[in-house]
Amino acid sequence: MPLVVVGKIKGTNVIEALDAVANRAGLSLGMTLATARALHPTLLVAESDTEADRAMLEHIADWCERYTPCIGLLQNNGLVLDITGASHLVGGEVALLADIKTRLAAQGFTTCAAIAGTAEAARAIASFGDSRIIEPGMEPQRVAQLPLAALSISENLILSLSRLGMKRIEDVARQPRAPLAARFGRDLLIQLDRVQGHIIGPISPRRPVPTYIAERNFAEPIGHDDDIHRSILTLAADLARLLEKHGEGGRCYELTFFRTDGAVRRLTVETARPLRDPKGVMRLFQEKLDTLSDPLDPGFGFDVIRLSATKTERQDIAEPGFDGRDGIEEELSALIDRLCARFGANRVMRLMPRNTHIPERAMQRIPAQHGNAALTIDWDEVLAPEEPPTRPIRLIEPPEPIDVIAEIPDSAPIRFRWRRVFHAVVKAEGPERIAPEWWRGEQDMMTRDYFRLEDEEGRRFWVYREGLFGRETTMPKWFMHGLFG
Amino acid sequence: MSVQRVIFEDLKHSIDRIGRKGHIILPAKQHARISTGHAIVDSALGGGLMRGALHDILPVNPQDGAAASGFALGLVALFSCQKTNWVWVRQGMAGKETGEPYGPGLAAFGLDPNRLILVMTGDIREALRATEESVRCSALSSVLFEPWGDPKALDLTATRRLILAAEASNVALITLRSGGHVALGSARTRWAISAASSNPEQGATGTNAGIGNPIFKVALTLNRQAGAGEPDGPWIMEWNHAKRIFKPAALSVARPTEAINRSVTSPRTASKSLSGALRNAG
Repeated sequence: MPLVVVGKIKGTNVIEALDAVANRAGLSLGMTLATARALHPTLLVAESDTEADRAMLEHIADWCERYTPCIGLLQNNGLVLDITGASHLVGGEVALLADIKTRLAAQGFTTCAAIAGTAEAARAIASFGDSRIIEPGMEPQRVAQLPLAALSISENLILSLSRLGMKRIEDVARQPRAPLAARFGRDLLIQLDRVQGHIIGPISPRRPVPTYIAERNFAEPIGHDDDIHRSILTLAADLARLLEKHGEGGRCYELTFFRTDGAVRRLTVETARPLRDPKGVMRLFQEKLDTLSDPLDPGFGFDVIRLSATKTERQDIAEPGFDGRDGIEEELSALIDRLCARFGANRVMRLMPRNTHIPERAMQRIPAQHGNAALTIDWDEVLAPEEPPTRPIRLIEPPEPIDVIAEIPDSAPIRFRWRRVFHAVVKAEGPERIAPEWWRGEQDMMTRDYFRLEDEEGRRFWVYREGLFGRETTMPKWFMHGLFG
Repeated sequence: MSVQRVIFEDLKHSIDRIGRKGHIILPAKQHARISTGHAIVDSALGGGLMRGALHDILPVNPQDGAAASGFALGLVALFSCQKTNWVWVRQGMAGKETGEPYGPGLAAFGLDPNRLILVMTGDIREALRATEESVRCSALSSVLFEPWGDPKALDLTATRRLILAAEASNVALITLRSGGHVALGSARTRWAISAASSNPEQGATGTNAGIGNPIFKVALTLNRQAGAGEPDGPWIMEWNHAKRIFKPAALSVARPTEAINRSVTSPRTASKSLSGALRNAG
């Protein structure tokens, strides 16, 4: 039974794809569904789903990353791979092409593939010609016989050109260039040059292509933990040599595992300072692997493992000092990196001060990996040496409401109740008035009067009254904001 | 022959020590004890607190959690005289009960908040793993581990692991058990902390007595640093944030009738707010 995929174009259901049986039965692309049904009442119809098609294409692209990381998507049913310098890894271009076709066929896809000097030439041959490899320089001959639809130009332009009697690429190529450009625009000439291999157009890869890559292809797919660790170490060593040659270190590494059945798994680690040392990189990935909630499943084995440095920074060769000071900074960085790899970068924090009076905003927690510059910022010295601390060591976030007995308008509390326990105030200091920051335009925040209180047991609290009695509110509320040591 | 062997081994050890990461680790420093500043406490400890060991801090009552935190931070400050970086590993729940570490407060206590690495983990296993990882890093002066309550995972095996790691790297491990009661086995010292009323003489300017320096009532419930028969407190220890050391203090009696009504803003705080506002506006 013939199977077609239909989609709506301008309101009518039109065939967008058909299988071999439908092709033999005389149906064609672009035919309306009504006509098709008239020809073949027993027709299997599937709705076109561009989202699913795109997802499948991304999936195939993921799988094709084993050959090269520079892959672009072509409409909804094609991929372009930049295999410069990559074909020798799988035994040459012929082997590469055969490999792709067999593997994709094994997964149920029929592929048309071609290799050429430019992406446009390869696409043209693949779409309208046979699968073959075009030798360098032979592009003009090979594309000559292809129809004009092989150029990526608009339908109207193809129509106009065909009205002038030009139906093949060689017809257009024979014409003098200047009148063509004048009549049909420069774009036509650019596409012509690209498809003939004269100029190389850019491929926009779907993921940024890293500058430094080390990879290994395994003739025998590996699956044991030991083998995996050893290969990560060797890859890290290869990458370290490359990075050292350029005087750079990696800030972000990505490890990609390609399984024989096509599944792809990626792991990323970030570091606080540029890192090259293979053992350090290995340790970070070790932490990541240990804490994967969904463990790395080799299936039948990995046949390609690739390590790339996606973000790099300048790193000079470290000269170890005699007093070991650099050693301390490096060890600390390494510890932070390991903790971040294990628990996530947002769980390992440093504290940074902010220039504001409002206590809960005066301090900020930032991820330790990003905060190297924070180490030199001064925290406000709030005290003279003989004065006791005016800020609590622990802050209650958010401040908890308490019930207070105090004289109005603005005296310190005499007694208060917090978390259902009564406290009788023995000593009090304050108020320290903190007004809302008018330059930030906050209209609804009220003035706070902070008091340091000590109860009869010797516990010290930091409470505030929110709102000036009479001026801002008639029922000021009290809150517990912090605890002193 | 054996004499030569002994000399050879000694030489190997000395070179090992020098060669390890380029540091020259003098043996004397490894076993130096950190003085607390309180003479009686120091003598009870046999000279002072030891690095590379577990010091367990428990509040006497659940409400003394803040006092216990203050004492723990005091120990951290004592340990960070030479190498200054320290790590604070907290289990999530500890924050809701006793509050989050507050940078300006730490600065007011005498610690440098820039030197703190704060690790906030979800459950106790992650917290233990983070603590162990941190304790192994010899670039730190101390690790403050704050679990919540008495988790089952914090058993003898887990504490032994941490202690072995601390001994190897000479990092001081301080556990602050805000909601806990059960003592950790194999700790080197254990302290029971409760709040103490502050001394009025160190209060802020003004004619009336005010709140003084942080002050704690400290009892040493377990002491493996010195022999049996040493006194175990309770002592009153006051923290001097400028000198970053404790000093002995007398217990001041809390008199409820001295409740202060200071509605007049002290001149120093007013000028600080004013200058702060000018600084922000400028």
